[in-house]
Amino acid sequence: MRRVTAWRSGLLPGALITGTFVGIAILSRIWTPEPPTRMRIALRLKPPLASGLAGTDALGHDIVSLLMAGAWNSLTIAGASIALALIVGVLLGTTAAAMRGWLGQTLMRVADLLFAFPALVSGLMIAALIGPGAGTAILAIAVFAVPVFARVSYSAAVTVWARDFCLAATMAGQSRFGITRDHILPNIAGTLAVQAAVQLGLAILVEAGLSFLGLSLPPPAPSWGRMLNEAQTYLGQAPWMAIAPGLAIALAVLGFNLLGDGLRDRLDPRRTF
Amino acid sequence: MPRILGRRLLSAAVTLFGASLAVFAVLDVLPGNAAAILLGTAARPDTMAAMAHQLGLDRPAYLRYGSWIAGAVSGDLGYSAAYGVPVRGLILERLAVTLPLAAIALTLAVSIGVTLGVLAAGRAHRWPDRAASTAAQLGMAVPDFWIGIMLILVFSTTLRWFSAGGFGGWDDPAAGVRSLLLPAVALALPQAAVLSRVTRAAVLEVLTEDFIRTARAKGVSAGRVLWRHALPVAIMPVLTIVGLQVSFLIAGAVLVETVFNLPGLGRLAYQALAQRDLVVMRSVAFLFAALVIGVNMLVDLAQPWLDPRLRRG
Repeated sequence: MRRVTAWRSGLLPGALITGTFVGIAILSRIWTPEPPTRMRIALRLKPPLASGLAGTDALGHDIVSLLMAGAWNSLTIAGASIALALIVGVLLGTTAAAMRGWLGQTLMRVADLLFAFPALVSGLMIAALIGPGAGTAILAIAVFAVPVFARVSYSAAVTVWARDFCLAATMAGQSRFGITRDHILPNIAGTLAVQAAVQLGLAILVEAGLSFLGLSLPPPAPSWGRMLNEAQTYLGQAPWMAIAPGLAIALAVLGFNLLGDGLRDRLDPRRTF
Repeated sequence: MPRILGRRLLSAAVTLFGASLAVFAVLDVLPGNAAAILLGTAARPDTMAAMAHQLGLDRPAYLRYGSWIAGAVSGDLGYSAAYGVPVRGLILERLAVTLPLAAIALTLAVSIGVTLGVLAAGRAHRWPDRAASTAAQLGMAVPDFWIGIMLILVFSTTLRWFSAGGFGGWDDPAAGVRSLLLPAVALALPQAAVLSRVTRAAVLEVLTEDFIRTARAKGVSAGRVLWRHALPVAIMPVLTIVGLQVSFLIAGAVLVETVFNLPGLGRLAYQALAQRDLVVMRSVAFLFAALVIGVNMLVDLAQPWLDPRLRRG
């Protein structure tokens, strides 16, 4: 087995990019170069450096400030949806592994069922029901991430259940719930951390797509996806409006993907890709 | 073998049934009064009642579900309130854009992804591998619809080689394919990135097996070992991932069709939401779910036929 350094495995660059992203998101709550929602019609469609580092949009919003505030919205929606999916998915997966039999199989089939709905499709369906907004985006992303966490925690939990210490705990009379809490969860936590990082990256991509279609946070809340939607109208005049948000999304996703790869090397050596 | 086939078919049928129930619950039962959604709450009660009767809303939910499914089986999906045409024709018309788009994108994604993956595995841990890995990391991080916008910026707005979107129909097949090319590239690149990583890992794993050592010992060239001996075995996990990626391809189609203003199925679902046309939406949403379920079932069933070891063994 080749030893991989923290830099090569992606752990370090991933942690750096993700850390910067989270830092900028938090910073945007207390400081941005301009108030992100302030319109300055006199400064509309200014190229980068003519007004601010990244220029302005069609209403004279400062793009750097919009990107910073957008980072917060992207991160909180992605974080909330993955937290929700993690809780529901792990509950499904570990319960199925503890129960086995038809009940366990039924729980896993429910997870399969959710998987049949692409995130954008469940986003459209949920928006038809409760209208667009942060809640719709969080639910739609969770619907698609729940089966992932359910499957990963199920297969990881099944292998832990086969270990001798679980047999010993069963012989000692510990309940299946107790064994799950004391032995299964600590042993699958690493695998789940890897998956959470990867899914956070995907969640940011999906949120950008949902807000591009206007299904996520409504205006005037700054959002990377909606910035891209508005940019398409001015593509010929102001290409910078389209370039900057795309780079921001790609960088944020890259950070979480690298972090996931690096963590996998550390915590979950069984998987090869 | 027939038992596995039967079990897989049954489980797909059960999932399909569950998906239809989920779609029906979210788009028909939970929204409550569809007539009010279409007409607005300010409509007069008798207009509302007439609309409800026309939509069949005065019947119980299980009867409505039954007639939707019975209609779907016989090819009658109801009437679109927004377009004033049968839903079936609307979907077929849109499929004529989305299916070719997906086919071109999938062909591009598999050929680019598998080629890159095999090349990277053949020179593992050296610079071609590093370059391919970096490209794959970037490809997986970039949103497909943004690639679309960038392609429009470069090839339409600046170079003027392609139109910035729209679709003129299949009367002129060459022009039809041409207008699907940029959107297909946008859809394909992130998929190719994922597939190249899976292919690389799968080929590397196969390369450690005994039959590869035998082939090498017999003096088979490195290239032939890679492409003719290792790849056919390694293609199995790649195929499984292609199946799993269908879900992302559909999500991407909704976005990319919007970016390129293509009259496809994804855009139809989006427009149906804007027009509150839930009758259209439920059939499109169910069709998407059925596609994901169907493709993954086919991938599962194809495994034994495709693995050269299982075939001869």
